[in-house]
Amino acid sequence: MSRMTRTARALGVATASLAVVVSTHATNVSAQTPAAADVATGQALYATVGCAGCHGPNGQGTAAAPRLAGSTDELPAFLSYVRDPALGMPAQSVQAVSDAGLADIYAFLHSPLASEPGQATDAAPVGSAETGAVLFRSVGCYQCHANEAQGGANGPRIGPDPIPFARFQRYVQNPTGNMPPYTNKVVSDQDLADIYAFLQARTRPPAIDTIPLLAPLLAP
Amino acid sequence: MARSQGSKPTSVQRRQFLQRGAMAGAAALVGSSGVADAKPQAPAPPAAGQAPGTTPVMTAAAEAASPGEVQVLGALERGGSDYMVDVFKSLDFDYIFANPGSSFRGLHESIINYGGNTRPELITCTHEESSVGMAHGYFKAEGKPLAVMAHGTVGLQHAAMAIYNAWCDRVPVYVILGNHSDAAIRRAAEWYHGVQDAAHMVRDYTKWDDNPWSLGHFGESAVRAYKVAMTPPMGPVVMTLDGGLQEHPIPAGEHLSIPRLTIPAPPQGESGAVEETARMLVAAESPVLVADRLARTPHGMTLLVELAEVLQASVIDYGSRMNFPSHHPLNQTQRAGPAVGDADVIGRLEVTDFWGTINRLRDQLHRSTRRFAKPTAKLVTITTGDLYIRSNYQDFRRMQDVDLAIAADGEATLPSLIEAVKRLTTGDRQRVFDERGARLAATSRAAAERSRIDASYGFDATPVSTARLCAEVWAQIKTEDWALVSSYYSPDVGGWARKLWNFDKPYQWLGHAGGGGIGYGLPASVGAALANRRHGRLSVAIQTDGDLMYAPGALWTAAHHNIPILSVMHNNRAYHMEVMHVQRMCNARNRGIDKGTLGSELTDPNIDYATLAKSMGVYAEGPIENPSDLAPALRRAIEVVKRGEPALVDVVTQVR
Repeated sequence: MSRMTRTARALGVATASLAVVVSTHATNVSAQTPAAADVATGQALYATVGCAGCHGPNGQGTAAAPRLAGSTDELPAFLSYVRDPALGMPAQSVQAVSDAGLADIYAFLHSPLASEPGQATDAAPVGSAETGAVLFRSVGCYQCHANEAQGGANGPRIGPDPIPFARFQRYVQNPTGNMPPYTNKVVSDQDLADIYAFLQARTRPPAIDTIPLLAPLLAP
Repeated sequence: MARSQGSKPTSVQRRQFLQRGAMAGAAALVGSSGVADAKPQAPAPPAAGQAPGTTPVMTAAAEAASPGEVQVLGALERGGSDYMVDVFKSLDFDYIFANPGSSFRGLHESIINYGGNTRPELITCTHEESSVGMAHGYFKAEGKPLAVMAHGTVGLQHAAMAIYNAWCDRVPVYVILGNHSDAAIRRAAEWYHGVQDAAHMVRDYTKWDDNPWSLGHFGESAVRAYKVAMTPPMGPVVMTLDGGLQEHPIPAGEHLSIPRLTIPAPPQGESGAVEETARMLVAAESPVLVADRLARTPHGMTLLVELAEVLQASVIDYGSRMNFPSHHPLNQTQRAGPAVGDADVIGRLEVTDFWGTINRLRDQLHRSTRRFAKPTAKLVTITTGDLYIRSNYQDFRRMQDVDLAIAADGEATLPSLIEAVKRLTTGDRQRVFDERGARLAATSRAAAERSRIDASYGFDATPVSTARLCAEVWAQIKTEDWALVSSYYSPDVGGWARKLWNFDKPYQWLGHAGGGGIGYGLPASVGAALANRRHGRLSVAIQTDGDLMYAPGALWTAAHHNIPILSVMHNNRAYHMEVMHVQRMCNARNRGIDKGTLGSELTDPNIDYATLAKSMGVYAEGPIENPSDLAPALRRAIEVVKRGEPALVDVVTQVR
């Protein structure tokens, strides 16, 4: 596959392209919230830990960070991402916020106190998923994010459920990590809209427990 | 021609032989005394009817001519290379890899006839790079070095990249070079294959070499070379063997002994420094143990598990060796960044790139770096990397300030470190450890769960996703005694094997190439499979296309020598790491990347790896593009492997 890998170790750790958070699975996530989780505590922690600074006071998302309210992430995935986020979001240590505290935040984000699910913070321009599919390959997105935008070792999953378009556009043009920058000269705004439409059109997989090949390795 | 010191003329048996002219080109003939005649003799004239420069033919005139003299060994005499084989047998080489070459023909003959072609058994290779790669893979599976024979010039030039990989990977490979030092008696081809200092071109990345001038000298140096190669930090060594020394008879009356091999005990950390390290680890709230080439033996993994469990500390396994079970609750490799970011003490165990453990390099037009470990985090290193280093090649990586450095072998130091940690652990600290362990187990479970979910995206896509590829292979091997023997960054297939497979035995993962030289994966996997054959293990390689095309002849070696191995192609039809780099340059220069794949793709035509493998006697299927076709193809291939043969399944995959 590759011929020279001088920076492979560094890239293996550090290479993340679009620092995005996407929904990980279509399940009834509220059922995953521990019964002991406290919404009020979660709301307070959400503010004091600093989530609101980027994700908005009610988890509605901003141009700087994606929507969290009503996220379809399961709690373990939410915990895991907060501890080990893609580049762009600071990791939250157990000293900063415990797992129980994160469970409280999670409960808050899935409560009526958080922004209503489904409200986009910015509207994406009209794009063609078919054209986007061609562009996704020709401009090289697939190199790191894989053919179906599912992500891999060199770049995170970016579809389905991509981050808000404004943030997507800004990151593509001015990435904070190792992703090569794409200016308007090489990828126009319409190209980005088409690619975004392609990302939105990616299909979600079936529930994980319906895929025997991906059964848990070890007993819980 | 090098001679044994104090040698006497040998009593070679003379025989009449109807042949002449076979040594045409020799400038001087060697007399019966073994001393070169002072008067060069003219070459024999062509036989009647024979055109000059043509092969002599048996004619009446030739039969009538005066026969030349040739020398053959008497019944009780032995060639110098017979003694060499005695020495190599004493070193217990299981195999010796070679693409044949005239400069070591004496040794070649001694191995197959005098030595009976057993221990070492000659393994026929089609490229010297493959020979060294196989020896590299064999060592990592078996823990024993193997020998490689090559021409001192052209063979070594072929082998050089693979030797560099072994050097960077701290793997002992015993390289034997043939060379005709005496220019006065070289055949024509031996001038191209002759060199003053054969090992010179690889001296920057070998640990030791010698060019013995007598058999006694050879015996000592051969054993010394083995000892040097096997003493941590281990590395490849070179023995240059003169053609004359190999071919000339052992002088009558010369008594050659074989020095006894004693491998030195590896250096253990200084006791005070080990005690201080233990004190830091016990007092730490979030200690992290980072291991790379730690597990020098299978016991290394057991020791690291014990240290981690005693401390209930995070472990990050960089994977150059099988250091830690992939799904152990304390294994935090899948969340290495935050684990290091949280750490207040970081222990580096045989990690070359410690700087890269705690810093990140941003690869943009203007490169920048940032440290993501806490500025207050204490850094401790235990590595033989501080004992031995070379300057020309820069595999030692960037300098990292540390608080305590122990120049010692990591695995050898672990027992005393474990003992010190146990001694210093109080009841209060034990409660802290237990709470920490529970937290780490939870994060480990969450990371495993996230990996499953991540793998499910694009699971049914065509070409096959790398996650699907690994899940399908795992489904077929998980009940077998398996080992993943392909070992390059890319065959790690996006890390999916380590995320989705349960690696819990020391031989199940062999690490990477070392120097990043491509062309390692195929021969190293065949070499490892050769080692696994005697243990009855199912050797599995996830074989990348670009790597295979460097020297595909290793497939033939596997077929020829009945080396059972399942090679599953990760065929993404390009050198995709390079596509990414070119893409990075296109973007940095704002020129668009529509031509970014030029020079890096392996398409038009697509390579038919199944047909390629079949042509060399390997069972093969593919190309497979539909993921639902994978399971039956893998099952059929595994049946072949279980019969003791190699098999290849070509799978067209996504990029990574």
